[in-house]
Amino acid sequence: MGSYLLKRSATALLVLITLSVLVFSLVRWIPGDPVASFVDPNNPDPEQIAAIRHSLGLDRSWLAQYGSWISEAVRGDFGHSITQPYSVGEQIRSRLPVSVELGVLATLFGVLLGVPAGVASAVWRGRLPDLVFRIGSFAFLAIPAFVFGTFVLLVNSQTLRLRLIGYVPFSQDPLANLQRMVVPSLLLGLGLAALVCRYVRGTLLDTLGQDYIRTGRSKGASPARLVIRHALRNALIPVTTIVGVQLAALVGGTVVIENVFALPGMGNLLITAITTTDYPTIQASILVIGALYVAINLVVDLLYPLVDPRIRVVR
Amino acid sequence: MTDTRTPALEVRDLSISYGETTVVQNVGFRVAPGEIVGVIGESGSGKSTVAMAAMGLLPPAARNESGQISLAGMPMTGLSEKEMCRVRGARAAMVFQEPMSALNPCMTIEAQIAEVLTIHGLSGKAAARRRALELLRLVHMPDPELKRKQFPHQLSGGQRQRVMMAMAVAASPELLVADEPTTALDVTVQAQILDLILELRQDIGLGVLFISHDLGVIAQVCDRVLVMYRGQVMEEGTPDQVLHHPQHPYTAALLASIPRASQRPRTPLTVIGGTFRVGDRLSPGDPAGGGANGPAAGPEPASAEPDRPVLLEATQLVKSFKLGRRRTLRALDDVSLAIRQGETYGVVGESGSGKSTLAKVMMLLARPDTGTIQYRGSRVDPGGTRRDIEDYRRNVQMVFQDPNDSLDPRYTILRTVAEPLRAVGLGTEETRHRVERSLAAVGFDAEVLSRYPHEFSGGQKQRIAIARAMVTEPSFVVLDEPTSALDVSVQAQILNLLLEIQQRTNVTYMFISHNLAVVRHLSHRMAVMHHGAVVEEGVAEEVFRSPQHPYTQRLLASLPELERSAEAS
Repeated sequence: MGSYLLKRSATALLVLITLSVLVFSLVRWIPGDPVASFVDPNNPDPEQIAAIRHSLGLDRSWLAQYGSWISEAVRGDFGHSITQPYSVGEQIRSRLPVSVELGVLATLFGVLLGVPAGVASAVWRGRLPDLVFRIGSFAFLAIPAFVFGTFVLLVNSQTLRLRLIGYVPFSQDPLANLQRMVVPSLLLGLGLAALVCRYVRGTLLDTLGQDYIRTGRSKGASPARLVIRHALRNALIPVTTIVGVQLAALVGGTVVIENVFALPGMGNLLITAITTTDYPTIQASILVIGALYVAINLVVDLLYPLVDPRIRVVR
Repeated sequence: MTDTRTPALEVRDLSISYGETTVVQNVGFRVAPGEIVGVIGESGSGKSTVAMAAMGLLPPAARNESGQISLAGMPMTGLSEKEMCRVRGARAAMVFQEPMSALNPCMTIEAQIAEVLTIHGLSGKAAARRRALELLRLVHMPDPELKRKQFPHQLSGGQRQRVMMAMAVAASPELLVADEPTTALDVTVQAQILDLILELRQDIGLGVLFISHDLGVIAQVCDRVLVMYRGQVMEEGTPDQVLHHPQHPYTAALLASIPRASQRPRTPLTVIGGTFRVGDRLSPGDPAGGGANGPAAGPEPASAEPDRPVLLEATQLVKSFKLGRRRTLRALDDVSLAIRQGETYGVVGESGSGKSTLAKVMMLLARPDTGTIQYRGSRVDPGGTRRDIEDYRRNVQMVFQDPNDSLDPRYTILRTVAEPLRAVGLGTEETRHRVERSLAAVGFDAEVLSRYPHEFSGGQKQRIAIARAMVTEPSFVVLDEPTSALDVSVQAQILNLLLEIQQRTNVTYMFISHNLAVVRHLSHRMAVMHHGAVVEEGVAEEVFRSPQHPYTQRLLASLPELERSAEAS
């Protein structure tokens, strides 16, 4: 178990280092010299250029530049944004919580709605609940969340007139925060729930056909006990993986939903940075989102042995 | 002891159908407390359907046409699912064939045993766990305090079947239904589990319905035997009556299709032909009758004459696998053997003995760590020249255990059988011609070429697999358990076919099997493998007559043998 943990953590670290090198090189491969914006293009003064290069640290080797960039990044200092009057670190610190809250809530909805729907679909296979959930999940997979989002906002503006747009930090007003977060995360969660429902239905049907379910029946276990005690845990093992990947994707930024509901999240930040070629922000966002992916998948991998005892021995 | 007359299980006039097909027809029998009743039959005989019906575990598609089943005097027919749940596990329990897949991989074995007691409200959680430990002791689980906290994958096959037994007897049921409980186990482990079943029925007066296709096993444990064929009971009686003095032609034919010590090796086995009806009687002097064996006359079998040239020689083969940081498994431990041209070289051993690794190394599918393989005097292991290795590869083929897995379901028969010829590089016409010839040799005509594997039965698929191996006219064929997945009557066909091909083409076989009777029937010489090493090697008949190594002696002693039960009776 110890070596499993160590091995997985080492792989995760390796992925992160590779990502950081890629992100670092990215900006240096793009044609153009950052010094160009500081000097008069018609009358370049070599000494002035050299001075600027020196002050920016560009005269050092790439390795030295990478070293100082990554050591500052690790401490949360990503330098200054080119287009915004804030440091990149400040921006990420203000936006990350929004995305994390959205992602976690959406995943929660996805699992809480998707698993029971999948179970019902499998248990009543080919009957009414199965039909309803399968058509429903198709709809939520096929129709993008922003369509539903816009629809909800339109209806709301004509009827209830709840405040659903904008963002209030949780620390400032928890109720107002939840009121604004619940609809976008539910909409995102429905898409995930549709996916989870289909997965759970498939894996559960597969599991219910296994020999040990027949053994359970021969012991006198009731149908409910067979599903809950024997089948569900085995069926959820493969579902863990997709939920983990989806959670990472959701936290990494959901551009459209953030835009529809005017939420200042990571997706929004990255898109703005890309349209204004704000390289320090782009670099930092990619690095942070990548780190989140790696961290969440690491957690999922470490959870695996807890769910599936067979993995504990097979390294 | 007032109601010892009440049978543990009574089945009367049972008929079950799937749609239009009747799979069980007018079956009736009783299992007394403490009695073991065996049901033998081949696939499709309905024996498992009867077992499932006794447990009320038939799939929804099955329809109960007629008949009654009563368990310890209590009628079970017409019970609701809820009422059946109270019966299953408490009054009737079941043990299945494959103990790995029959246990929940995510629950400790203790929890799985204790569950039987808590489901039926027989004890609280803590008491159930204590009882689970007692039950593990009852079934002679080694180191029960440690094992009870483990998961199924941490146990051996025999230990898993012990867990199944502990679960089955947990609630002290009147009836145990055992569906091929030892088929997936090695013979020495099989002997232990059979002993356990005998012990439990004695100690707790369990009535046992024992389903098996293995007549030797049935002869060893059962008090009474039913012979089933196409959903009907053909014959019923004591093992001695049924297996040694069969009255019904089907029973006689079934018995004759099994290779036995009294039959001369490498003579054709009797193949079951025609259809049988209830009430058929064996006429005296019937060639398949009276437990007599197939034609004993035949060509004098060519025994292992020493003057046959050596075709293939393996010297000091070692192959090990890393299991963890420190542990390695020596799958082949200094194995040396010589296979002579035109002979069948048998390799027997239990699971994990290294016989499949040997096959892979001989096929050059795995690289030995050290050691050499010589084919017609030239090295063909990775140390040999490219030309010799390629020449060897063209001359060697393999037939696998399960034809359902070894044939690509999306390949036509033509493409399947033609595949080995791609290495030879023939034109389309010549390829087709060779494929047709090879299929003809296994009894198929050209109209099968465009068909797909799923259109054939298991035995037919194995014949196609043999045609595929023989299409290149190889000089050496590795047969890895080629009949283990097949019924005995189909096994007889395949063994006859292999013998016939060998006599015609002088091909050399390496025949790998855990089935000692089959190896004895087919092999000129043989090797016994144990823990990666060859512990005994020699002329097959001599090894069986006077085994020298203690392991071989133990292996032969644990083999349930029809003959031995005849001697005892």
